[in-house]
Amino acid sequence: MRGSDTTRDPCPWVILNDAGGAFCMGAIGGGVWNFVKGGRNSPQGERFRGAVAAMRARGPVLGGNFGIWGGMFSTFDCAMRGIRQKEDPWNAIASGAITGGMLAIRGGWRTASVSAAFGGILLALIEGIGIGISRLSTGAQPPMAPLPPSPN
Amino acid sequence: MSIFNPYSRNSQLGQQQPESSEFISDKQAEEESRTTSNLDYISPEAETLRQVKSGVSDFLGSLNADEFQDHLSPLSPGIQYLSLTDNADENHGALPSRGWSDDLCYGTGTAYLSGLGLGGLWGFVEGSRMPAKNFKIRLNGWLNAMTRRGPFLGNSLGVVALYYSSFYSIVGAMRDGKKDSITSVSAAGITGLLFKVPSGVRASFKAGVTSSILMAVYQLAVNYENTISDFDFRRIKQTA
Repeated sequence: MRGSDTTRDPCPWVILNDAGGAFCMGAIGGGVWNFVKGGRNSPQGERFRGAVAAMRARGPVLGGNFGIWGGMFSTFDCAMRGIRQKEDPWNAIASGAITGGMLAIRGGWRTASVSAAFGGILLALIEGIGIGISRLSTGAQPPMAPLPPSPN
Repeated sequence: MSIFNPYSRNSQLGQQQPESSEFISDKQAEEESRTTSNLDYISPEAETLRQVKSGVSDFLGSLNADEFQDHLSPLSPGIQYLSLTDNADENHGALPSRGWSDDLCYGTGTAYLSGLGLGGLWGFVEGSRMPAKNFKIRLNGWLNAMTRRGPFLGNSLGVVALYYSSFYSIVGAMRDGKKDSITSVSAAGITGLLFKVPSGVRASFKAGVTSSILMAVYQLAVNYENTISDFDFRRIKQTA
């Protein structure tokens, strides 16, 4: 596949990378967040203990939620690439929607479709912002000067 | 060595890494990308040759194909490619390891997903043991057990891998970039120590020692020769 995105690793392996990256993001972010929250909610003198307990209890859960999202998203993205033989923003948007829907499927069709729409919109926003940033950073093409009139 | 040594790309991270990228010829680059991507594509030279040969073969009958390939192809010698795989320290195995972020992401991802899978299996077995009158109840039992055990094991393993890969990189950086068996054994020890800290000092020490012994055994099993040379007993004796 020439001309494919070379900043990412080849397809089956990138799933591990994405799942791991998302898990780390969620676990670290959730750890810090719940540490602060647990400390604030604990009584005086028990603040540190409460903070650590909250971090241990809830940090990995958020990490897991992020990780499963990232892993499934990447899996569907790879599947889309394989099926469509194309790499465009629609891959990401569709796989975001499928992931959102799949993860909420035990809540029934209504919940699943709301969640799928949310996933699709989120990924569309991300892709749109990415495209906008790359447009901005490339800069607008200067307009071409008109040709001088011919002597005759 | 990181945990995933047998199937990660660097088995010799302790050795010196190439400082500057080396230039390789286009033939090599083509060959390399073909072997790394496992994809077959027609090289530009070959493609041009094929087109030209099929189209104006009568005209080209007089031309020497080798000469043509050397001088006329768009990628004739003179263009040199940067070899991306040279910067990755070694290239066998599937998982790349080009720095701390790769180690972290791939290590955590592999541990998390395998934990999720194993936990799901555990939950499946547990759900199957439960008594069920009909299929609907059985399915619900399966789903409940799997969603309880899967994320539990996955999250725990993921956090352990997160600790381990972070400490592996930190210890490696503190030892001037040396990433050998000593680095992994000490990273494993710190990981065990930290993971069990809330259950008390004794349990924490026990976990630390246990995990470093396990890692040492693993390292010995995976690459016996490198591990023995890492723990250079004579040199340790001399410094002691």
